[in-house]
Amino acid sequence: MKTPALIVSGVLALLLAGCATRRVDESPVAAGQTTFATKEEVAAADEHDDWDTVAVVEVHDPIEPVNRGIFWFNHQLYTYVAKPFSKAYKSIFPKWVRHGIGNAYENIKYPIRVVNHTLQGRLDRTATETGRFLVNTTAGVGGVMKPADKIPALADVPKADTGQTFSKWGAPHGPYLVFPVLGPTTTRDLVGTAGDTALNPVAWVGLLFGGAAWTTAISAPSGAHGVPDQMDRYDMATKDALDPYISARSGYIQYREAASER
Amino acid sequence: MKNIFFLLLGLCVGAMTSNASTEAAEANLRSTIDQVLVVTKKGKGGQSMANQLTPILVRHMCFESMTRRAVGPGWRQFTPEQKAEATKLFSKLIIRNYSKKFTPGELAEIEFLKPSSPGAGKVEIPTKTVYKGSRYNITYRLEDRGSWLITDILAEGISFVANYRAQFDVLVRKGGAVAVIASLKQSLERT
Repeated sequence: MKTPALIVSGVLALLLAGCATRRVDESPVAAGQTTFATKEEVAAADEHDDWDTVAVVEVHDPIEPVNRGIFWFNHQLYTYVAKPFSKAYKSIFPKWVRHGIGNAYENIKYPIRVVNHTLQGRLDRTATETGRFLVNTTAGVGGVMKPADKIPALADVPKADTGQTFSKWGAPHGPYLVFPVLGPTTTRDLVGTAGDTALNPVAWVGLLFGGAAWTTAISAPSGAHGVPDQMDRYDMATKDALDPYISARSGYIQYREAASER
Repeated sequence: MKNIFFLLLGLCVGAMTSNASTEAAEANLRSTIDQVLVVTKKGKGGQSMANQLTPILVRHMCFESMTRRAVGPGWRQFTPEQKAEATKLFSKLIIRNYSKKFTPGELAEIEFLKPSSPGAGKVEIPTKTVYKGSRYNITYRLEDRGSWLITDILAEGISFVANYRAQFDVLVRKGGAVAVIASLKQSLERT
């Protein structure tokens, strides 16, 4: 287990430039990265200068102007297409239907979680995840309901994905990227998404039946279901921001850091 | 032998003090959240919600330290008047931002998890919150400043203060206190 982990993390480390969350009293950052406070600044602080209690997110964003352009495009898309869609979707489908659809798609993605728990060496979580899947698939009618949430031993298992696994293996985030429609990611998470897609049974349907149209048709309800939640999160991250781009970037990196640490 | 006795005694006293701290902090947080939920259950949305939550949040959040830490080392460049103004404006933004997280009438189920104490006078209380059918990991950071006050809230690992710190940092480097205050005013003017 260790050998492939080391090889993959080594290759990723070579491919990706660094990006991490640091406390401000650590070493100054390299040129070209967004800087916050240097060691000297912290050292000169008076008794109330407790800025180091805040973990500052340091992001490698080498194509920031391009990313900002795509962020602006996405903002227009979210405002004029995704939000009206989200509103209509919510008004057509009652809450219990929406949750049922979301639960079922979440349940189908079991291989992504179970493989990554295993690759992260968390066999206890592999077992719990498997228990959840069995209970939700059988008693929960194909995962539409989540009876496992009522069983304390199965109720709480953190999600796992391939990007998190790379993080556990020591791979840095790499450059921050914003994609049209899809939004923010990092090079590490982009490679991770490819791994997640390969592990997603919804994607296998396209391979089995010989066409991307099948995959699109089957994953469309999942995508539609996710839009309202994503719009809520987007609003939360950007609505009262001084700079929505930086707020979304900081939020994304912090979120992924926290997910990897769980 | 004597040394071991004092060492054990010290450890016991330390553990008891720490437990007392975390219990007091948790009791304070529970009381704050209860008060907030009463308002969000019965109150109206928008500015009305923010107005009703303001007296509760003013009592239980430490806006001064939140502003100072969000601005970072650039805070030293601020005059006392600029510090006061930035704190006032940022407090309004925090309250508005926090108020928007709630939908009137929606109930939240909150499970308090085991608190930890990262340092003297500091307590972190993780929670599992179920709100509008979704589960969130929300952690509250509190500090003992005479009473236990909230100094940061982390939703799914995203620190409220760190998120603003990333934004303020650019402004401080660009235009110091003037740019920070102007940006806060601009943000508050937006609906």
